Amino acid sequence: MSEHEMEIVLDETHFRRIISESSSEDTANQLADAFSTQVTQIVDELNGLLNSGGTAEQTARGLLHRLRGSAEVIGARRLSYITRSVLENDQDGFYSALRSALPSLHETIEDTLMEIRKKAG
Amino acid sequence: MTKQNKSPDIYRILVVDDDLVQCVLIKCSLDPDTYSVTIANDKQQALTLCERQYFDLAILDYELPDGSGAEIANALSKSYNIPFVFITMIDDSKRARRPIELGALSYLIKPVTPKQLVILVENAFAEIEHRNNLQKAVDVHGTIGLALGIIMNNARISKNDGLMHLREYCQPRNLSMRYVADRIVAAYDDYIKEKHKKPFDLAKILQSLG
Repeated sequence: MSEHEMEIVLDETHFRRIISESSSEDTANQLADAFSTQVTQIVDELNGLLNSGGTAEQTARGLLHRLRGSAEVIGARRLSYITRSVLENDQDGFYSALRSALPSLHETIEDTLMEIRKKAG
Repeated sequence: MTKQNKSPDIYRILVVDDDLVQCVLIKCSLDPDTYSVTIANDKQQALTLCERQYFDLAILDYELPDGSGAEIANALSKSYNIPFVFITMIDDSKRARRPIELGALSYLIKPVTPKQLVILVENAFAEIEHRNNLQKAVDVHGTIGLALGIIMNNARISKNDGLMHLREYCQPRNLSMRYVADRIVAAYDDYIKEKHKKPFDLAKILQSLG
């Protein structure tokens, strides 16, 4: 994975593939709803951990790992890249890297949801 | 509470994954006329469901908030006799084989597509059927039956055809069916113990007997 991933919000080929191969006609909407619920919950929990002084790094890493997993399921490349960058950042410390990434994380989540909803029609 | 019995026309699948998006993808991938999918988001929920319901197969995530998929895998095989497959994010090939060591029928590495999921599930049910055939053979006919099960599965033939092949092989060579059956079962046992390192070659085994 490279910084090139930052340019792609949603991997259209992958997303179209999972929609066309699925057995339900409503897959795109169901994925959009699940993604929205999941990321909102994770981001709220991450904010809670940051506001409580940045302890429980393993819990926060677990949440970020889950966020990356959800992103990869639907082909949300930019979101996957950002979460992976924070998880693999060895220089700034985990919470510092997470704090810096939060604005772009929020923005990317919004962009991703918009893209999925657009595809869902 | 009494366990809900299996409906004969539909396969019951338990999905254990804390990723809601992955759960939705699995549910949307499997034909609801063939598969009934129940979702558990953690280990406790999964084990509670297993106490109450019958499942033909479980699809497990390797990493869960309240315990690893390995712990669930142990509970499923020891307490509930439910076969399982893994879908994991582990992308290191050495660690990715861990599910097989835990007794999984197969595994996939995320991200997965619906088609890959369907193939994973279909293959898992084929493997379950194969194992059931072998078990039935052991139960009914002892060693000869077990060898017959291996032949049936290996050559994808019926019980009668398998028996005919076994007879046709033994008679001209003046070998007892029991002797040949013992060799086939021993060779298959080695194949399983060596974790499928070499392919199971029935023709080669028979050739070595004369």
